[in-house]
Amino acid sequence: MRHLLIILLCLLATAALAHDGMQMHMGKEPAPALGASAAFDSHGKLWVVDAADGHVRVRTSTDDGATLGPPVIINPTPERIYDEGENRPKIAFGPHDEIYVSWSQPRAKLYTGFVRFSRSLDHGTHFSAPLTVQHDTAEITHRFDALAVDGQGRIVIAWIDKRDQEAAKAQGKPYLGAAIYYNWSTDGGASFVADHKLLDHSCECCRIALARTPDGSVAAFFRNIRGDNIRDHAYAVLRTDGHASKVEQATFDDWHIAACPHQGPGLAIGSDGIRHAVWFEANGNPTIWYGQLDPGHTPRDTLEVAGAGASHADVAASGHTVWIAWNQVSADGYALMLRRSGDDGLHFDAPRAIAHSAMAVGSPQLLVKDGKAFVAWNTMDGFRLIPAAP
Amino acid sequence: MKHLPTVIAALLACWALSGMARAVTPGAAVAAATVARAQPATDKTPSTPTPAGNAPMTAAAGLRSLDARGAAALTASPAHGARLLALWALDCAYCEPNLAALAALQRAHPGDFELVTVATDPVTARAAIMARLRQAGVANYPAYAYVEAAPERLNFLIDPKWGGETPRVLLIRADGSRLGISGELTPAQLKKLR
Repeated sequence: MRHLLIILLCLLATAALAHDGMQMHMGKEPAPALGASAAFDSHGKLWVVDAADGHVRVRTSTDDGATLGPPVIINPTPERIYDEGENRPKIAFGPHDEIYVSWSQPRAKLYTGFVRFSRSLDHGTHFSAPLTVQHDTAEITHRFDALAVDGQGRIVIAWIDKRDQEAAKAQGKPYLGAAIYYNWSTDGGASFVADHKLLDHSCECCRIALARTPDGSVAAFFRNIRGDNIRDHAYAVLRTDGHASKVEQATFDDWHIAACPHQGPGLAIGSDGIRHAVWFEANGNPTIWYGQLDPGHTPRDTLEVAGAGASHADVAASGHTVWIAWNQVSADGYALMLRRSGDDGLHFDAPRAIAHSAMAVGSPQLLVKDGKAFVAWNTMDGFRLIPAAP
Repeated sequence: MKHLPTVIAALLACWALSGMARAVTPGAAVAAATVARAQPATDKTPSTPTPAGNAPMTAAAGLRSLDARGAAALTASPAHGARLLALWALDCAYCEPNLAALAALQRAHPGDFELVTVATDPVTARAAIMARLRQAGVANYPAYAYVEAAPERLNFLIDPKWGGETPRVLLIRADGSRLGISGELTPAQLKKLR
């Protein structure tokens, strides 16, 4: 009887501790991913897109993020969705309030993905069945999508693509990194033109920044690879007129590294054509830089925005005002940091924390509405929209 | 009540037996790392650990979650020799060669190095993380993954001089000195670690 009691107690204790262990190790449920994007439409309504349980979904707010409406599911059939780190669903609007959403879908094999797209032509009540944007259907990398709408209403999507790397590998040839491809839609997202290669040898896992130029084109700023694995950045206007895009080196930090930085850049182009950019490099100490891109030459008016513990900066511009936002970690958690310039980025005020989170956060995203800036910040406690006003 | 001492002893024994199932504590981290140094085992499914402190195990006890407290323990200077933290991520094509190279280094100098692998991905990606560790032939070393859904805070706590790029190796010596190297290790960099 005594032995039985001991065995029983042992089993009970083991079960209790195993349960504790399961909670600590596995989590009761998968943690919600932090990949979300937000944008204001032409009426000032805020749209937030993220993913939950295999569905991309949108929520809206008419009170600048204080309250979010119920989610509208975009893909009724669940699918896998990249929604963490440098990947997050994207949202943009057409000239007649069309709503465009893109995301990357993991495939079965490692490092693979398809770029997906859906649109709503009835103000978000219904969304079209998702289509695959790229025309190459090989199960390889086509992911880290970036979405923008140009001045003509074309939907431009760029992504990281490994078809050329795979081809080189099959021939036993070396190939550094991946490639950037893009295509566009001239029929409001019903279909996309053939895939266009922008360049070979991009970084494999850093987000691509897109911004509209004053003449209505879409420009890309992204981490590429030059020489023997130097991972700086390049800039190009994505041509949609049949001409080849001109890609030029745009940052010159000489960060030589065979690694995944997991930190892509940010880009905002003012109505005056100034290309405000933020980027990360760790040639020495990890540093986030601001600069005004002068493709082919070193950026102008560079500023060391932040150092150790800083990550995932974004930039926005309106009139002569420029804002930079980023995450700053400390032992206590995360601070959402902001710097502002009132003179086209020549001088910035001191960094200040405009929000805090004890729990994990996603990459901040600067939004501008009527000349006022907000930062979209997805945290484990939920989505937040924080005014950038002093 | 005459059985009370026996029952308490049994509970304590059970607790010890179950100890490896719990989240990392400083003691567990060091014990696990010490075990790896003592016996870099073959790539097998983790077996039941024995309860005694530094007794050999045939393999690490699966994937553990790493929080701020665990990060402090892992980055504390070892009593002797050096600890290699192999920091890696699922979405990193350069990480697998690094893991394999560091394991080879550890096997060549088993008395000098502890090797611990740390995935910066959330521990909820357990299956993918363990599959990749097995693929790289390093699943037998103590393995951790982040408890948080975003890696930046733990990256900073492990190594404030690190911007989160992967792979990265952090060498922590008994004398308190450290060496952090990002990127796929070159032969010259591997020599520096020795």
